[in-house]
Amino acid sequence: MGKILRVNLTEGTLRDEMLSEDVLKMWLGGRGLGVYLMLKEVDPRVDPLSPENKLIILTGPLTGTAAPESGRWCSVTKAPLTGTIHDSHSGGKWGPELKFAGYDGIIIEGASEKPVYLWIHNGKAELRDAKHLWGKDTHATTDILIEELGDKNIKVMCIGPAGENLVKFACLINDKGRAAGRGGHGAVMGSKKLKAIAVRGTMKPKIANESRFREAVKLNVDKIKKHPVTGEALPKYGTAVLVNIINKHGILPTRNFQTGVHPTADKYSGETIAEKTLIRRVPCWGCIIACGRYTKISDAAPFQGEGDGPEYETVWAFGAQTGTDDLAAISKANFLCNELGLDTISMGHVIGTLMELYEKGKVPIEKLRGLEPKWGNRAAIVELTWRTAYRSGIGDDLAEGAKKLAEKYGAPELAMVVRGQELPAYDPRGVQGHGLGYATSNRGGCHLRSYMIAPEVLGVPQLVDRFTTNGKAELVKTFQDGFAVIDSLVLCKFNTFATWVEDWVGMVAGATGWNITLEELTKIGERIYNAERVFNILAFGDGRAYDTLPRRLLVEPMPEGPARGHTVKLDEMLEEYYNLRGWVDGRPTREKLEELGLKEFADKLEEKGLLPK
Amino acid sequence: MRVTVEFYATLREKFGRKVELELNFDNPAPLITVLSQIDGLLEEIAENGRIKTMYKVLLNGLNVEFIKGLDTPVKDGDEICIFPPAGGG
Repeated sequence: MGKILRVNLTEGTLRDEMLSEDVLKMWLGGRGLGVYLMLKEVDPRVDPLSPENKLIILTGPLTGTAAPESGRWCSVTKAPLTGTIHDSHSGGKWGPELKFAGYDGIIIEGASEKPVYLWIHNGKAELRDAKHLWGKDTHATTDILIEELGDKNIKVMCIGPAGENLVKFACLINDKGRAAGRGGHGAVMGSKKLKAIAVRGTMKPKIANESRFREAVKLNVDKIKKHPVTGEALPKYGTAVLVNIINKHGILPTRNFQTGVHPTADKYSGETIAEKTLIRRVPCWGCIIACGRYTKISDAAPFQGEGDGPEYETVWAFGAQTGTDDLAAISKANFLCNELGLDTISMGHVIGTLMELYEKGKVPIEKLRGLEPKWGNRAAIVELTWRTAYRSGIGDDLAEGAKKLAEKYGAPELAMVVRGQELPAYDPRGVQGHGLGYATSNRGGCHLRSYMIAPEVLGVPQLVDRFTTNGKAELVKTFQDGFAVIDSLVLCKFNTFATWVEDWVGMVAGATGWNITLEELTKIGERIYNAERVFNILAFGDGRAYDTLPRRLLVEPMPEGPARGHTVKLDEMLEEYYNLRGWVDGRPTREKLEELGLKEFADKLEEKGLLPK
Repeated sequence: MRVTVEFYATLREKFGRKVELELNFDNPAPLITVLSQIDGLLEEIAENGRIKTMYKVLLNGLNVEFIKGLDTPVKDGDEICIFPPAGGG
């Protein structure tokens, strides 16, 4: 554990490095290790698309082992969409294969003059010319590399045209249909002219204490198999099982968060997908849940296609957010995003932003070249996806994200974003804690920093009143810190429906041989959350002014449905949250940072006059 | 009174998508009385007089756990939605 490949694309050099065990014990891997390396190696004020930014690809201490749902990988960078520290995660089979190829991670720095790809196999790495791949979509790129390198077991992660064209929410795609989706990591890779990373290997990760590891894995696997969410609903209906649940609670953001009810949402629900378009379930490497879908649209011209997905977030983004309920068109837009290398959440969301701008007469007709972006125009969602990937016409504006789009057309209040990242598929006016989670998310609008939908709607681990603000600050902090741990172990978050930090201690201790305790593991989560905040403070002065929500969610009551009349009462939760975190106005104190072993970063903040008194 | 009961996920396989109930009860009637009109439903979703953990019973979009549980009054025209344990992200 700790073997890193450093790739300098400016120089064209490759070097193996070993991280110290002390560093790994502080940060684990994945998200945590990524923020540490970014703080140590990158000036937080750097332009995200400049050679000075780095793209750090990481696995975790459990990746590719028998630990449940350990087939993932993670990318950390300063994101072009948000200007924040940003981690983005993906499943599939690529992450474990990187580990089997002999590396725990890759630090990519500088920028190449011409397109290249990286080929890593059994401890060897080389940069190769990628001229013939530039311009190709992710499927063609994958097929060509597998053919060219001559091994069908090679796994490929790459960018599509959207990444090459520096779309601010271009993603990294591996195994043709799994995405490190959010934030624009694909644009960072595109700015470095790195088209793909192909990996293959047979070097299995070592386990320090086999018997302790096996015992802990069994405990976790048993809990996941027995849990009704991970054992039954997710495998059967996939993540889109949430469509009807969220819609019936009146919090399915519809037509750019103008309401929380989409009356015909069942047409693109997990139940409907299972009945009409599902070909097979697709597990990630070593997964015992298998929530992934492979679907096909065979007879709905011109929307025919097939591929991975769509997920819950995707059917929402191209569905309710754009007022569309046509599963064929939604699926087609999803397939295109996979092929072109676009984040489906941001893509669908931004189309919804454009549709509201159009509704309010803000978009000059000549910008649209005959397209009418009206709510529910199913052909428009597909066409706008194409135009965005290639920055064609209005697509060039969409490619900058909802915030810049709404600003450009004179209605910044219509951007439903936090820290520049488009909000996902839950309207927080009917889930107060989830609203606090959005507002305080270090990587911008995101449901996966603190998935308060679990306790506030799903009743996991226990049901709490979604309309009250009482006790939410503490729950949000607990979820944020626990999720920072699992993101740094680089395990799937669906573990957390059935297991929590105390269950992971034995797997970490067994795999690494460290004598780690529950308290230490929990503290790592808190350390990571604070370190991310430090990066953001140094980058753009993050703090209270950014810990907020779009005005609509704070002052415009939900107009209809079960959440009617509610707004997010952020003020009732934020100060309590700061107190629990040991923060003043959204910034950690020296005392808190030193308690977490982060004195060097407290010193850095003080040097810049950014440490609270 | 007339009440609509909708089912989701695995419950659709057992109870169908939707049941329209025409009931000769005093308006309103307790939820437990209304749901007992559907064969096998209470056994599926409740035990010991309470809705099973992680099952969600919504009355007009509000979880009955925060009203009166199985004693929640149901009136003419109400919509009841029932979900088994489920999650995503």
